[in-house]
Amino acid sequence: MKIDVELKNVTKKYGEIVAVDDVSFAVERGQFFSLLGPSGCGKTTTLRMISGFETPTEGEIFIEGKPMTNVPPFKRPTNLVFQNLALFPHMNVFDNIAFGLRIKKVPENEIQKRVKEMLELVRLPGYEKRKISQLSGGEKQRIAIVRALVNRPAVLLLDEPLGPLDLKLREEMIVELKRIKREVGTTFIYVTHDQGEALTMSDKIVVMNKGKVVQIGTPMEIYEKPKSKFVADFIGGTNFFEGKYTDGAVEVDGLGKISIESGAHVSKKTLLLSVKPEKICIGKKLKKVDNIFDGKVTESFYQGRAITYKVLLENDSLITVVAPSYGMERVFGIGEKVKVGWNKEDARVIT
Amino acid sequence: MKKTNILWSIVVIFAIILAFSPITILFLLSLNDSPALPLKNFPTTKWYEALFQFPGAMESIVNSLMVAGVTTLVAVVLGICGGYALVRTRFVGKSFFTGLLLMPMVVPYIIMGISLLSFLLRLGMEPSLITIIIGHILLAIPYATLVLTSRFIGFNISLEEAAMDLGADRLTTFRKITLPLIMPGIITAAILSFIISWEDVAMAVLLAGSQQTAPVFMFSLVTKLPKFVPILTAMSTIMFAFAIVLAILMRKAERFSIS
Repeated sequence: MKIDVELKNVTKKYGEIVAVDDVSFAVERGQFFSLLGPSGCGKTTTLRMISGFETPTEGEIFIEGKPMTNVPPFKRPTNLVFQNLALFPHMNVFDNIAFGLRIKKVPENEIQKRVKEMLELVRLPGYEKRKISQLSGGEKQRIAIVRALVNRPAVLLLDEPLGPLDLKLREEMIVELKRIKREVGTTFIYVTHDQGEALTMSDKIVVMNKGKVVQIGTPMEIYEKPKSKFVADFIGGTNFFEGKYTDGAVEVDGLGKISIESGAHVSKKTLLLSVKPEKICIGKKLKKVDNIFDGKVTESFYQGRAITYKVLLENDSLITVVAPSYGMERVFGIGEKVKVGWNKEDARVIT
Repeated sequence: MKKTNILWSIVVIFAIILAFSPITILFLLSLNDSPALPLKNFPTTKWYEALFQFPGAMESIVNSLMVAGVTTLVAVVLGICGGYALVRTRFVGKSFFTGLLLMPMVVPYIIMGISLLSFLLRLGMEPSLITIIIGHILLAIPYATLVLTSRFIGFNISLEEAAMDLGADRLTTFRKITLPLIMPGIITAAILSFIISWEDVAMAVLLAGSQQTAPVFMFSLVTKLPKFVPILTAMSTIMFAFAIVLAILMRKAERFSIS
């Protein structure tokens, strides 16, 4: 596979503050690649270094194999969709999209053709003469995306472009982005703090925290096989259990044994387990589950597709359980005694 | 509800009458046969004819136009630079310099004029239109800078970054993005600068050499040749008309630049 973007030991310091700390990763051609992390984790700074608005303090950036570390933004084969979209308010839709092509002195009839193609790509044909202020939120998003795409960049960079949209529009745009990605085939690098967006759209995700890369993997790897406490908790939330390992199980103080899948675990060593909330079942009686514990419901939130419970276990730890509303008998009330359980393959060993 | 509306209308109408009555009377007098009300042989152009033949009168208006034009140009350019520097850059003593920059707004013109005159004389410059222009630029800079500073504060820097990301170098970005978007501020700054120069007497009296600006000419006419005062009604009307036309043109340009 061809590598489109590569970061080698990139560090960015602002005075004493280290915003990006020794980050390395490679993005393959045609990938939908996401940088995921909480705000302030350095993901936007990383993106701005790829687009050329920031220069790394240390390390090197390659785009299509060429060193780009000191190349200004207007000479890079990348285009960025800004967080606030940054559509030019004094120009109409056509002039916005044509801006990059006119700078590159593309012939006017070619510009006409390409702008038209782009508007068809995002299903906004005939929008050429509209003013930016006349567009809805979703339409602005689309125009901002094609204003970048029309230049046929080697890499399209997107900086949390769906942030300001409401939930329904965001879901629509996620579907739309995936479709656009499929049709144009360009490499996408997408920055977001929303794990849902990252999981839904990406081929590969880099999880960042405090300026460092903490895990790189496919959405499924990141979600199902978190390598650290941070990733397990940040992606979808989780329940942690800590205890000593003894043949096939982890002994948790005040709770009992949690059986786990066999692995090369050292006996008597303290292990940290992560059990995702939706892997836990809840009921008055539970059958065919490897681990079953008694608990008491302390909170319940009905959310339509699912019900989220907070359950207090006998060792006084509070766990989160997400039960699907499909096949549900009833919603358990606060204070009700229940059983919770999960299979051993769903108890993931973190450390 | 209705009652308060009427009350407000009366207040507004009163304010307008108060503001415009001197100008209206001036305008009427400039077309009147006798130098005072009531109207006699109205309208007549005799004061305008006298004005056009009066030595130095038209010349002073041309001088004023030139002085105000150059002042506007320089003040706006410096205002753009100043506004950009104050908003976009960081430097030692920024707040101190901001305060210093706004000083001319609170110092009486006559004091500014006297200090500038002694300074320029020391440099060996003779009073002329150029010294007046220097003085007027000094007066206009704080206003032009203030207006453009607020324009830069409201400016979304991502727009410039977006242009650069799309391949525009710094100069092209400034021409195609920054300049059009700060244009309303530029126009406001230009109107302010022009008017400051156009109406100034205090500074111009001190700094004028053999060539006078229109207000200085009018001022000296009042003090030296009182019997020619009626032609000043005509001259004032012309000066006022210039200012109004200019303001309207610039407002038009402003609206055009935004759309």
